[in-house]
Parts: sequence; structure tokens; C-alpha cells
Amino acid sequence: MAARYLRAEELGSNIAKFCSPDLPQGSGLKSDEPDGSWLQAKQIDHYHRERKELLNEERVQVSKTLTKAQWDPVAQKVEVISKAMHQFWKVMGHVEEGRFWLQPEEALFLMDEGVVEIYHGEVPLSLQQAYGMFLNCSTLPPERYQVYSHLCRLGYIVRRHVPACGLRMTTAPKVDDEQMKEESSESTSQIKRKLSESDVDTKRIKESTTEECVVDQTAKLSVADAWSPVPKDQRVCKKSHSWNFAEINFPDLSVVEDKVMTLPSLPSDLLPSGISRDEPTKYRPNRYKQPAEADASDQMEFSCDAFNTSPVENASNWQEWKTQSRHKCNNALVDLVHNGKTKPLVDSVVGDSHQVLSRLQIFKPLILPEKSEDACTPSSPVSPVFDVHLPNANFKKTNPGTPDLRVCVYRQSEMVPDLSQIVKLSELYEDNVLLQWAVVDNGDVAFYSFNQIDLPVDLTD
Amino acid sequence: MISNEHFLLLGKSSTDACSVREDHRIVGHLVGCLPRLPRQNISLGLPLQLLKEEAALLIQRGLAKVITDDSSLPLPNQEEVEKFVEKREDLYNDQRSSRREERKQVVLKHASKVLEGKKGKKRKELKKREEKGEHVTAEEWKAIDAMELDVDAMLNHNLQRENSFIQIHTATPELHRRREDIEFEWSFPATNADKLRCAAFSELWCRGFFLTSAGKFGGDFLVYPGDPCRFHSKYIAVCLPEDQKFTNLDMTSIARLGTAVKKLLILVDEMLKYGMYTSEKQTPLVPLPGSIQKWNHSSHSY
Repeated sequence: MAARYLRAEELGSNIAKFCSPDLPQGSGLKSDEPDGSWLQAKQIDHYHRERKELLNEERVQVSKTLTKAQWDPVAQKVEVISKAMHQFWKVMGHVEEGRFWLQPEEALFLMDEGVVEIYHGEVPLSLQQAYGMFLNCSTLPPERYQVYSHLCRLGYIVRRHVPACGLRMTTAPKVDDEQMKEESSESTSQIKRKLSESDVDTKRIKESTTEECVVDQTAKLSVADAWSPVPKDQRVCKKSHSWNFAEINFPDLSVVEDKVMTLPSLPSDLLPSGISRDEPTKYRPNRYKQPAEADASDQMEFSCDAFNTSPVENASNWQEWKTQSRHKCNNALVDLVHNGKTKPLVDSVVGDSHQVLSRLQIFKPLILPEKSEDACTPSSPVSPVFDVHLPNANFKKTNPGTPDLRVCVYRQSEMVPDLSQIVKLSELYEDNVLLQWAVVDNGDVAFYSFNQIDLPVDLTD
Repeated sequence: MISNEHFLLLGKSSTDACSVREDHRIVGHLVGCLPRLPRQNISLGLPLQLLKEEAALLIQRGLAKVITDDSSLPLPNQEEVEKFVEKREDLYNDQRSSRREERKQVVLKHASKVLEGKKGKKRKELKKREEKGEHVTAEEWKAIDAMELDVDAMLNHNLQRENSFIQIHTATPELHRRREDIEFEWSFPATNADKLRCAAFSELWCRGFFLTSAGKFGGDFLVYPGDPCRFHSKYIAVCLPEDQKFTNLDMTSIARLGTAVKKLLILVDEMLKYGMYTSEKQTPLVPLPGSIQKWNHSSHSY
């Protein structure tokens, strides 16, 4: 039977099959060897006949429940012309310039489901044509679509991954001031363009409390741009103006709870000579020093002659100050500290705090190779493709919230991402959303995830 | 039979997917939604995705061809649009008349009952009028007996356009075909590993086995003695390309794999020599020519 139009009577009878859907039972228990018996042949034949009947079924829909859409080859998306009432609107599609759009994977899945009719020009596409047009190695690789439709069929809400959501910002590299200015002007222009393009709300990017802050806090990243590579400089930039932290009200947790840390009394021979300590007193950590209480809490006094006698140096930057102070240390402090019974763990010659830290660490952390630097950019191959939400009646497209899963898509034949990429990727996000790796093997989708475990350490000797 | 660049087989018709399996022992993997029950993953529908090796075999035997994607499909011209509109209009009219026909059948089936009912109603009316003291003529009584059913009047219910059925085509019907198929130039197998896989596939296929991908098991192919719908796979084939080191450690791990999944292991090397490695209890039943080595593997010692 060649591809053809169903006759009017067949259309009706096809619909009737959809009303009482049941799946074929299969051919019973499997056996190990064919024995050439009549029964086995009959069972296989029955299975084949059932399968043929099933595959011969065509999608038939009542006109008023069918959404009509138009393929836009330039935008590589599908524009919705007439909307029929259907629950997929809650979880799929997006609005741009007052027009409703479907991503190719959404459109193809809905077409496969039989709820959308997609036109190319004035004539609707067949599924065969739609597969050929929409599945494209650059915009929508077939593996991605297969993972998408697999999850959708299971009832999950699947959205294209939005790179900005949940990103850890403090790990961003610093940039030079001049370079930064250029970038920020560039990125703001991009943001403006984006704003004009879309009015879909997405999450605002979290700001970091350190000197880096996010320039495009108000930028609205739309789902439409989800897979388009976002340059790193657009996400994170160094702060250009200073904030007065005294004016910003942070909740003072130490007042509510009586979190008091008492310092143990120290034998005087453990302290370097010339340094003495007052009575062990109550010390409140993380406490912003209030002007009124300043006197009361300021009970710790250090009397180090070496510090007091040194004249105040004028240094224009930290680098200069460090070299000056290091120089001073070499002269005076080193002798002072190294004279006593107790000696410091780290030489004071080492000025850099990173070096100090590395000397103090007995177990070296995982050192990532330099080349994995590019792994943080969403354009690199290792990046989640989909945000998956559990079925939820209150789901909102404009504010999807934190996804329940992030999914990366891989082909069976592709190389496994190296450890550094996996670690980088998991460090990129600060919410503990499970990262799943979907591996597609000839249409078969399997999900894997990497978990970090701590090996138990036996401390007894 | 026609497959596109991604080896998604839709063919000229849905029967292609059935015939590759029934006639040519090519199983493939269905990846689309099932029209009658789209939201489940147990039983899937067209298209059928083929393994590259399956596609290569079909092409080699002249049973199929690979065509390029429709990404550059031209827009339909005026004539094609008119044809389509005409076709849809025809279908609508057909549906109208067939719906009408269906209704007519129903009406005719129950015509006598309906007529009786109508007559009864009229009689009641007349009786009521008599009770009220009105005069009812004999002709009026006679008229009731002579009443006939106007079937056509009962059928003037019209099918609304929005209630008509629309078909979403799986394969492209002739009317919607907008360009000739362009054969896709496919250079496969290109790498050594692919060549080996292809050779192994066609060799095992020629022996009458059904093969599917064994990615989930960690091998290359699952080998079934009969149709996978009815039989368990008996062997798992693992290809060993020459340029990859194969150490004793690998041997142990794939032998373990064979034991764990209760399948006989078929190792295929560059010269297409087979090694059959068996787990403890099983013995190879199908004799394979060439250099066959038997190696009994048990998890304790070998």
C-alpha cells in the first residue's frame, strides 16, 4: 500500500481505533532456539500481522482540534497560525514579537503526536518531509530529537537548556579594565537587541557578592536563544563602580542566636615573643562591627613591636605593598619568629596566599588541565541540552523554576567526556540538579549519571 | 525502499518497514510515536531507524537507497497549491456524503420504529383534542395511517467543516512530492572499525541470523537465531579492530560480559576469523567455519 490519502470512510474508522487504544500483546514468552514448529511460525506470523496493522495506521484528527502552523526556513522555527485548544500550550512554545513560535523539536513531536499540522507554503508537510527538514545536524541533531521525544512521551516537561540559570558566578575569570569596558558596552548593546527581540521572561542571573557582578541582570534571556552560544563576557563582567557595603543590609545572624566562640587560653611560650593576649574572651564571628559596640568587642589587643615600629609605607597598589612588606618581613619578622621554640609551619618568604594554601594541603585536589577552560562556555560540546521538569500542573513557561534534571546528549560512538569536563560542568552550577547523560544508540536512549563519592579514610595508625 | 541521511526509514509506504523485517531480516529500531497511543515508550511507530550497517547491507543488495534530506524543499507552486486545496475540498465533500450515507443507513434501519412513534404521537394529539370536545374528522384519522417518513428531511443535518477529519501523512503522498529524490552520496564504511563492523554484520546476517545493536550490553551486535519478537539473542558479537590494543584484561572483561548476560561471545577480528568463546555451561551450537577456537571461561579459573 503506497502512501496515499485515506478515503473518507477510512478516516472515520481510523478515528474509532484511537478511541479505544490498546497495544499489541507481543508474541508471548520468548524461547532460546527456533524449533521449526507450526506454533512458533504461527506466533511470529501473528506478531508480524499485528505490527503491520499498527504501522499502517495513519494520524487522523478532527479539524477544529488541529493546530495549524507554518515552517519558517529562515528562523528555522515553526510559527503557529491558528491555535486549537490543547494542553501542550502550557509547556511548549514561546512568544516573540507577539507571534507564537514552536522550536523544530516541539513542532516535530507535536506533529508526530498528531495535534499540529505544519504547512510549508500553502501545502502541509508529511511527517517524512518534516523529519527531513527539521532534523539537521547543525540546528537539531537527530539524537537530540530522540532524547526529547523519549522524555516527552514519558510525560516530562522538556525545555531547551537556558545557560544562564543556576550558573555559579564567582568562578568567572577576571578581565582587564579596558578590555572589560569594551566587552560591557558590547554586551549591553547585545542585551538591548535581545530586549527588543523578545519579551519572554526568564530567570535573572544571580549576582555575586564579590567584586564581580553581572552586567546583564535585567537582560531577559529567552528560550528562543537557548541553544545559541552565549559569549562568556556577556554573562559575567567585573564590576566597574564600587558598592558601599555599609549601606547594604545583610541579616545579622549572630545577634539572633548566641553564637559565641571562646578562644582557648594559650600557654605564653606558644606565642612569638613580644606578642601577648588578654583574657580569653567572647568572640563573635561574622559580626558586622557596630559603631556602638565597637569598644566592647574590641578586647583583643596585639602588641607586636615589629608592627608598631615600622613606618607606614606609601604604596600605589597591592603588588607594591606586598613587595615592600615582604622586604620588611625578611629583615625583621623572620628572625623574630624563627628564634623561638615553636616555628611557623610556612616560611614567611612565601608571600602569596595561594602558595601558603598549597603548602598546607596534604591531599592535593584534582588539578584540571588548562585545555578544559573552554568547557564552561555553553557553546562547547559538553553542555546540557535540555532542562527537564517533572510533570507539574502549575508549570509556567515564563518562570519554569529550577529544573529537576539537566540532560546532556551523546551518541554511542562519541568519546566519553574527560573527567575535567565533567567536573567543570558540575562546578558550573550551584544548584544540586542532577546532570544526566543521555546516550543514544541507534534510537535507543539510555541515561547515565556520574556521582561523586568519598572514599572512607582510616585515620588510626 | 528509501531512507534519509539519518537512516530513518519511512519509505514510500508503511509496508517497507514491515517487509525489511519479514523478508530481509533487518530489524532496525522504531523511533516515532504510535498514532493510536502517542504518549508511551513501550510500543513505538514509524520511522524505523536503521543501523548504518543495516543500511549499507540493503544498499549493497540494491534493496534500498539513501536520499538527501528535504531541507531545501522548494515552496509549492500555484498549481500544486490548487491541487491540494481541491483534494482537501473533495475529501470534505466525500466525508459529508459518507456521513450522510451512514446516517441514512441508521435511519432506514430504524425507520419503522420511528414511523410508529410519530403516528402514535399524532394519535395522542387527536385524542386529546376529542376529549376537549373538539371535532376531529375521519380524514384526519386516515391521514395518520397514510403518514410516510421523509428520510431526506431527517438527513439535512450538515457536517461542519471544522468537524471534518484531516489526515497527517506519515509518508509523503504523490500529490505532496515536490522534487525528485536526490541520492545521497554516502561514503560508508570509511574507517577500519566501520569496515570491520560492516563485514561482521553482513557475514552474520548471511548465516541467517537477526542482528540488532548491542550498545546497551557493551558489545557490537546482538545475534538472534530467529525473529527477535519470539527468541532471545543467543550470541553477542564484539569486533576487534586491528589498530586497537586488545589485552588480556579486555578479554577477561568481555568474557565476563558474556557470562553475565548469558550469551555466547563471538569475537570478530580483521581477517573475519571467528573465535567463539563460551561461558561455563554453554557450548556453541552453530558451527562457524574458519578458525574456530573454543575457550571455556569460568569466573574462577581459566
